[in-house]
Amino acid sequence: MASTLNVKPDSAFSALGAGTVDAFDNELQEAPEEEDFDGFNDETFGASCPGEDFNWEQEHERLAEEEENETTEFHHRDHTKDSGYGNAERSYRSQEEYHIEESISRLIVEDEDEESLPVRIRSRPIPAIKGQPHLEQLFGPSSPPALYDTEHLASPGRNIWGSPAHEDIFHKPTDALQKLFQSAKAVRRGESPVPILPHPLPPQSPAALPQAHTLEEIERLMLARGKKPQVITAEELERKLRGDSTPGNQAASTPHVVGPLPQFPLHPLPQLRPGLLPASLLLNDQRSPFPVSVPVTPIGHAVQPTTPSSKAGILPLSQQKQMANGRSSPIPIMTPKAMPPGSMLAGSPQLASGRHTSTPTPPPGMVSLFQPPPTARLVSPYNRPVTPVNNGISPATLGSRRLGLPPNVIPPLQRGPVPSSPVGTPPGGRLSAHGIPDISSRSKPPIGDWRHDGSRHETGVTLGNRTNQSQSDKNRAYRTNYQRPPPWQQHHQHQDMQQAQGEEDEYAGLMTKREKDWIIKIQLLQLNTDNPYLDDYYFTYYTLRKKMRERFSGGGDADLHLEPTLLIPNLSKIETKAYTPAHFEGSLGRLTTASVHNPRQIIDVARGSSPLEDTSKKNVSKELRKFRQLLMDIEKGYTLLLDIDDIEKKVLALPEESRIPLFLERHEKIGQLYQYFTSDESIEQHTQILGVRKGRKLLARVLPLFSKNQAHVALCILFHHMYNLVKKDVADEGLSLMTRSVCSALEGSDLDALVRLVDVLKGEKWSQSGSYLDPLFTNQFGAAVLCSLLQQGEKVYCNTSPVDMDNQLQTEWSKFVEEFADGLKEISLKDLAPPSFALPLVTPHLTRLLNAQVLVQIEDKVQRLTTPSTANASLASFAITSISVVDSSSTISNLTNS
Amino acid sequence: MVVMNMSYLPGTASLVEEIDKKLLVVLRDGRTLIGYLRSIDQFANLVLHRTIERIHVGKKYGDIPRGIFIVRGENVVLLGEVDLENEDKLPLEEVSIDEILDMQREMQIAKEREDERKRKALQERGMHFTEHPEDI
Repeated sequence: MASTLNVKPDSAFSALGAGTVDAFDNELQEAPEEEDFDGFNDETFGASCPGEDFNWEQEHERLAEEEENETTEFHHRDHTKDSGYGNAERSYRSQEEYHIEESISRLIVEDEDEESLPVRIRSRPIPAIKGQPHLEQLFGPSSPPALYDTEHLASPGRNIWGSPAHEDIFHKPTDALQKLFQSAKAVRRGESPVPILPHPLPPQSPAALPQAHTLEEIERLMLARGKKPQVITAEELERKLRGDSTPGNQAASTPHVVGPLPQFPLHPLPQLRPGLLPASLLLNDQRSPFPVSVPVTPIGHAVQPTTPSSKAGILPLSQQKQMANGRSSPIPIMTPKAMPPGSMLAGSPQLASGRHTSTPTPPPGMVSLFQPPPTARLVSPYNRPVTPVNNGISPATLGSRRLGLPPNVIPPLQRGPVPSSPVGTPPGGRLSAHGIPDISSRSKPPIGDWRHDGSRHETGVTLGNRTNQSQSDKNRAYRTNYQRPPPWQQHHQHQDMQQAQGEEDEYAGLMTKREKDWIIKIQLLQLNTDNPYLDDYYFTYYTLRKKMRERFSGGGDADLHLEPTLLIPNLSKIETKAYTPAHFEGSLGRLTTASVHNPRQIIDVARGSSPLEDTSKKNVSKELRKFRQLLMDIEKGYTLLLDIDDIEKKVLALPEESRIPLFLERHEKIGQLYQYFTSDESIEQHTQILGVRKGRKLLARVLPLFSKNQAHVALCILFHHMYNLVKKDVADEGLSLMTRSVCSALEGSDLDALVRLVDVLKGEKWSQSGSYLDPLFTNQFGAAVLCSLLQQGEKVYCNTSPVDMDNQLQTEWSKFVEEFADGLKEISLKDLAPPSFALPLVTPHLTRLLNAQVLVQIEDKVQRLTTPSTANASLASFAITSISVVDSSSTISNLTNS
Repeated sequence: MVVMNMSYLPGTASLVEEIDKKLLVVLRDGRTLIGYLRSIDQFANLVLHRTIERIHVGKKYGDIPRGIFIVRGENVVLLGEVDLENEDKLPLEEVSIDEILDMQREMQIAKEREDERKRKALQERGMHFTEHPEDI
């Protein structure tokens, strides 16, 4: 019968509702018409909230009301469904499904009958021993926690979204319930809940006790009566709810309801009672859930509407709930479906059985004894709702108690707060899990015990703090939520909160560590860089220079001038995988996914030659265009150079073994640069390139990178154009940029190379009549080059035994040195442009190769050439810096070579 | 909020330290919220719990309970932890919500008048301004 399944959700909802009702008790009473509430609901949640079937349901209800006043019960049932869980579920549920459910439920009932026998035997004392195994079978021992979690999430949703528009019908019951509630509250910790046990519907109850067939009987009754018999029950219930309940009963019931905290305590109560009431509910469910469910749902509804209407104070609560729910809301709906049908079904019977056992439900004799209380129960809004709640929360507490476990141990049960949420229903499974264990564990305590349990429970819940121990943070948080003062009281909430906080922040830890880590990771991810020079250039250099300065001021050592090198930890593996958009067969275009690593491309920057460019070029003079082209060409060289720089920076951070690929890459790049400089085309352009300061600087920076041979070739080219360069280099000191690198490039040259370079120098047609050396002497760069040649010559002579030296080369070299001396002789001292740095080996070399007479003639000039002028001090410092650059790069090249 | 040791997490991750602490948050529209920070995300969206909105007028203030407040990160001007020990030692006087709202209204009206007066005065001198600076 659909009732089983349907009812459960309802009951769950009602449970939640009950809790809320408690909280909103006062509000509800004050609240105007329920229709208003509906209106609020619509405003707040949108009319469509209830689900797709919403309209249909409404209409259906109205029709039902009009046509079948007599069969109120039926309507009630509908309402119950709608009210809570039903809405969500319904949308998914089709009529066919209903039928299926019915058949299933029947099966279940049958099963229950079988089970019921043993259960009954033990029934009162140790209810659902049987149940436990079932649970374990269904969910495995560990399963319950998971269920709880989902329930946690899901359950709150019910509250918010569950509030149906169908409250109208329930007005009366609600009111009655509320009154009862209040009275109950007044009584509060009055007496033991025991009376509650009888809850089971009066009519049914008689049958239950004596025999195992209670269920069967009930079922039979149900079937036989169809819905009518139920109607009767419902009426009875209603009656009781409205007015029949006796104060004494209420008092009895109250204790359950009334927690230490007037506002939220209600939850605890229902939870405590759980076993008892549920049994009745279950019975009802099996037959037709309507009667029981009806009262409960309304309450829940009523509560929700109040929230919106309530003043600011109230809002917070609702908001909170929403929050809590918001997360879980989707889950609740899913849960029931998600659970395998089998599990649900199984769960339900277990529940039923468990309840029977726990709540000596039907045992007729018992019923008679307890009947009054049942009514009270029914009256109290909790009853209905309690069922689910009971399963979740109360059973747990009870169970723990029974088991002898400390309350803390009970965590699942304690989560009670969650259970209070109607959603918790996933009902069958969950309920069974909680309820059954409890029942089974329970050792036939007398009814009186139940009471105690209940009271205890209440106290425990009230205390709230005690719960902390075993519960997860989340659970705790939820519970506190419920326990907290109702919204209206929250007016001065913050103060209270502070107090509460002094003890402990119940809501702390809503954000799990994992979530926090996730955020931290996201933030840190952005800081990852494989090239700080590129990603954070200014900071990087600022830091570098700051360090430099610190070192400088700290103590002036020789290494002061060494530029600090930045070690870049190899954070990000070099991303080798390029993103390739996924292709799907038959799809048009490509689908792209965006991620942190593959951000969506907003623009594809591919530069095509646009006609606009051409037209603009035409306007520019041909000369300018050429110049631009030249600059662009030089830029290409720089691009390569920068690439090499990057590689060098990467290399520094890498461990030795992983540097090789980068070295290879660097080597390749240098090769490209070499090509760039030495290709035929560029030879033609060389003068042009070197004629531009930018180009000279490029060459200056590239030279140190070249291998000896490459550098030699480059130098040849340079010397080839030396004349033009020197001639043009009048005001522009661009050539001096190259001085240092050229000079250092000369180092390491052997005599052969030196001679060839000299040949190149000589080979140029120097237009002037005088020696080709003249213009060089008058140019700082030229003079530096000449001196460097001599210096290198001296080195060669020093390091090579005369035997190994080629005589011819020696001769040519000597010739050059003589020419040098001659040229020096002819030039006036003031025209000399001494290099900016000292070349100590020039003099010894001249001494070595020239005769003393000549040497004397040029002594002063040589002196001038080899002693850096003070005026060039600044330049000298520059040279020093560039030297250091050269050094570092040379170390790299050494590495490469090795 | 001031991290003395300078070793703080980058970006909004630094907010992780503030979770479950009582924070005062000033929004772009000038509202002041006080509540417990429960959750954040990488956009610095905040979930404030047990939030109150505090309205200050002169030496008086009033608190409006707001419950849970979700703040879009971009609207946060500043936020800082509330010193729970000295929280009650404010040199301010708490008044009821209605009172503070009234006072706020009065203040706003007075301000509008003042602005209008300034505007007119400036206009007489040939200057116009169309926007209130606080709107920017």
